[in-house]
Amino acid sequence: MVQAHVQLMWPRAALAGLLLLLGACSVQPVAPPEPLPPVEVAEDSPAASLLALADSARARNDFSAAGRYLERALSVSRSGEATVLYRELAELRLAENEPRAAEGLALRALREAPDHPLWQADLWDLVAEARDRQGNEAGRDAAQDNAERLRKEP
Amino acid sequence: MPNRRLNSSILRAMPKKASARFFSRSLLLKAFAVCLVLMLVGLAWLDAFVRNRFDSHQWQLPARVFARPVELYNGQVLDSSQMERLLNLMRYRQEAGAPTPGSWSRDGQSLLLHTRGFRDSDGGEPPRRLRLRITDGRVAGLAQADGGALPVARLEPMQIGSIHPGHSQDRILVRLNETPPALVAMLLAVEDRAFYEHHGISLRGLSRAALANLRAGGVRQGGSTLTQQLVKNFWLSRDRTLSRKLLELPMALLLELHYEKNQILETYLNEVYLGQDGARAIHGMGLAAQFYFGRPLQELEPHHLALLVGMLRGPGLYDPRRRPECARERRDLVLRVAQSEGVISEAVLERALARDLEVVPRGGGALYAFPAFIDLVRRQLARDYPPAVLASDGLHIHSTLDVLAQLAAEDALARTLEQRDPGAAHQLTGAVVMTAPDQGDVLAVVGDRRARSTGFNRALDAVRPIGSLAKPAVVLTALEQPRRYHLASLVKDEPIEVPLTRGQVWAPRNFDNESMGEIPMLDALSLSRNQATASLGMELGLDKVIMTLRRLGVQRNIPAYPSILLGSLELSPFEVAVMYQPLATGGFRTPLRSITDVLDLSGEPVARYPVSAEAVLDQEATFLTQWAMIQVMREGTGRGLLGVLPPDITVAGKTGTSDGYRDAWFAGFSGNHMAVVWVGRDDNQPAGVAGSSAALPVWGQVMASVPQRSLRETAPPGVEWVWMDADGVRTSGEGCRDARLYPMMTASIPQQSTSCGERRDNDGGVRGWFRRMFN
Repeated sequence: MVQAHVQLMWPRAALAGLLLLLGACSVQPVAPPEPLPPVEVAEDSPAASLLALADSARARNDFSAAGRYLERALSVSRSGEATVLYRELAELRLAENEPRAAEGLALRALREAPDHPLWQADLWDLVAEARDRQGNEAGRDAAQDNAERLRKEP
Repeated sequence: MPNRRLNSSILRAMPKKASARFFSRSLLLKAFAVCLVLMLVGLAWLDAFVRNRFDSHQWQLPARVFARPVELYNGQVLDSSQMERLLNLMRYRQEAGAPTPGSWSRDGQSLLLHTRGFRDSDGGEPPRRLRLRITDGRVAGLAQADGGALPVARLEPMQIGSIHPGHSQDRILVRLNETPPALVAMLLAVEDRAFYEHHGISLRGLSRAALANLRAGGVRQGGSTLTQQLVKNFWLSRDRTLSRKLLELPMALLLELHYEKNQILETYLNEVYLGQDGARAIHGMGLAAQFYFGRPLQELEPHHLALLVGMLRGPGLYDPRRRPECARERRDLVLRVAQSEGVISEAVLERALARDLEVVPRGGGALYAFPAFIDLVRRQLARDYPPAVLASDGLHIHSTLDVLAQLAAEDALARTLEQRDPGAAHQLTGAVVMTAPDQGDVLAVVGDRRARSTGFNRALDAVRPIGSLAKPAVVLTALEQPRRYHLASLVKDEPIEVPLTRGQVWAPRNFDNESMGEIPMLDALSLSRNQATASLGMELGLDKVIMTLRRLGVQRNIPAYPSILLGSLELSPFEVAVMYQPLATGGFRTPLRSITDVLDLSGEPVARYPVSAEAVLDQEATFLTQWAMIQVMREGTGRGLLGVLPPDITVAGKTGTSDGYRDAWFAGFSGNHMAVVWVGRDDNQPAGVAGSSAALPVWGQVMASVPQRSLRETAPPGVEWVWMDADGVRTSGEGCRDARLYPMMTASIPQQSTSCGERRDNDGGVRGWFRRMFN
């Protein structure tokens, strides 16, 4: 994947990490966010333009449109892009206060994730957040443990 | 005396006469007053009636079902013939430069398209001109016609059905400002020239009609204005009686008194009856345009509009499909009147008269072309919406149907079955369900080899033994116990006898009547060995396999008989698609959906059916099962498909054949599509079909017709690649005798190794090797 695509996703991903830290008061403190790894949606991918539209829709709180854009992106996505799109869908469900749906989608993103510990750790953080919002403390702790272990991997 | 008597009688009579005159005048006056009061009361009542009914009138607008819009983007798999088929189906007309919505043209190597635009829950798409270049079966360039960049665009969704339970009216509402001016002008020229001058009734028209009726010796003409026609259509009977006329006249006057001309005209255009489509009554110009010409009203040309106007006089009499000569004569008359009234020019008249009726064949478009899919949508809607809402609120149902995939699935099933069972009196039939597992979208449903048939929907309702399609559930159950089983574990492909109740014995045989002895679990699945699967299943326990089937999404009662291990369980093709969904998604239940969005009449979102995912299976075990199913396609019962799909596309699947070769199944998936195929007979008699020979070819054709993404073979965390010895209990090494490479859960990796392979510790596998290297 070309490096240019990183521009598209980094600010949002970093913001997501920050939100996780600031917003999840009941989540136990986690290690400071490290820069997220490159996300595999290339600039010339049809999914990238839909992702950008989903961002705009979400910024104006139009979750319905954002969800539709992301699902369309999923249907035209190339190999390796699904993990990003599921992650975005999971974040959207969290924003819609549907943590159970968010957890499933974050786990789905993990299933599609590349073998990249930091990316996976970020997704486990999302799982932890979703589980915490459901009151599943044991599940949250397990997800956080996974995230921490992955961050320590060389 | 007589005179006196006479006089007196006269005298007596005089006051009587005067009083009678007085009384009759008074009576008349009273009667008149009573009549006047009654009339006024009647008028007041009529006035209230007209206003109340007109104000509260709600169109009966059935829910309309649309296919998913076709996405266009660079790299999309789409060949030119598919694109042309699509444009024909969508009634795009070929016109140089694609100047208006719904038109297209060739421009060198490119296609120019002028899309129609539509509303969706993400805002939809505006109509726009696109330049599309298709090379080697792929979209090689997409841009706006003016050169602007466009990464992705959509064609408007095709309407594939409407849901109108409880009544038979159907219409597409059009606003007056969206109606072609020529239509209105023609309508007024033919039906009511003085529409904008009269007050609801036309005395000139009435006297002309009366004269004509007098001459004819009966009622031949009504002399009705458009307002009177609307009153009649809305509230009165169709009988040409005096009493109806007596009601019609004041009602028309009252309607005009309270409402604007344009309001009345718009209502008329949407109310008029223009034909019948079976039980469905075609109302309004909007729907008539689609019904007769397959296009939106806005895209119709003068000769089309003239036909619609002409048909108002008698939709049955001038039905262009049944009585084309009458229809053409009437159309031409309307065109001539339009020209004489200055609506169209002489040149336009000449061109229009030279045109054919251009009526599309009934059923030639996408509307009602996919009854099996609509059946599925109808069932989902019935769960979520009351019939009254579906019948009248004009909801727009955005479905998941992929028209190209649907057509490909229909073709593949019909072609394959025609080869095996040709002729009109065929007995073999089948069904196909195709999905996009990532979203759970149902892309295609074929319920019969004659896909337009509206009868028994086999895709949803043919519940048949699934045969070996059950075997992945047995393997998965084993692999979820990684300390006991892995894909290299040996299982006994030997005669097995399981005692049943009442002294019966279950003794399954392999389809080749042979037994292979001890074989790896992988081979048991890829070669579809019955005895090996049965012995593995009995070792695991029926209850555990049943639990796995439940987690896979089987909702029917599963009897705890050993034969379920080999697929005595009966499911419909759609239920098999549900069951294979978690296998295709790596362990997630993503509920199948046939609807994505519901919009109201104005295009505002009413409901969404979002994508969801729930982890229901062990991720590592699912990956191993998937990998074993990939081997089915590479070296097992699915290898017959080699060469049908591109070699770089990895797919996984499983054949299934029921006892007596009654049912042939194939269920399988790539990285982005899944399809389930069933072939058999309706009377459940032996059909001589096997999964690999009857269902697999259909599956291959269906999958080859849509863009495929390879199934991912990258092992998830917790799974490593291990060379195993043929004994299934020791690791081996690359190049060692009888060594095979397996993906294996870390917990499964044996401690022992053959002398050829190196001694392993718990940190085995590729990852362990790397660790040791760097430590």
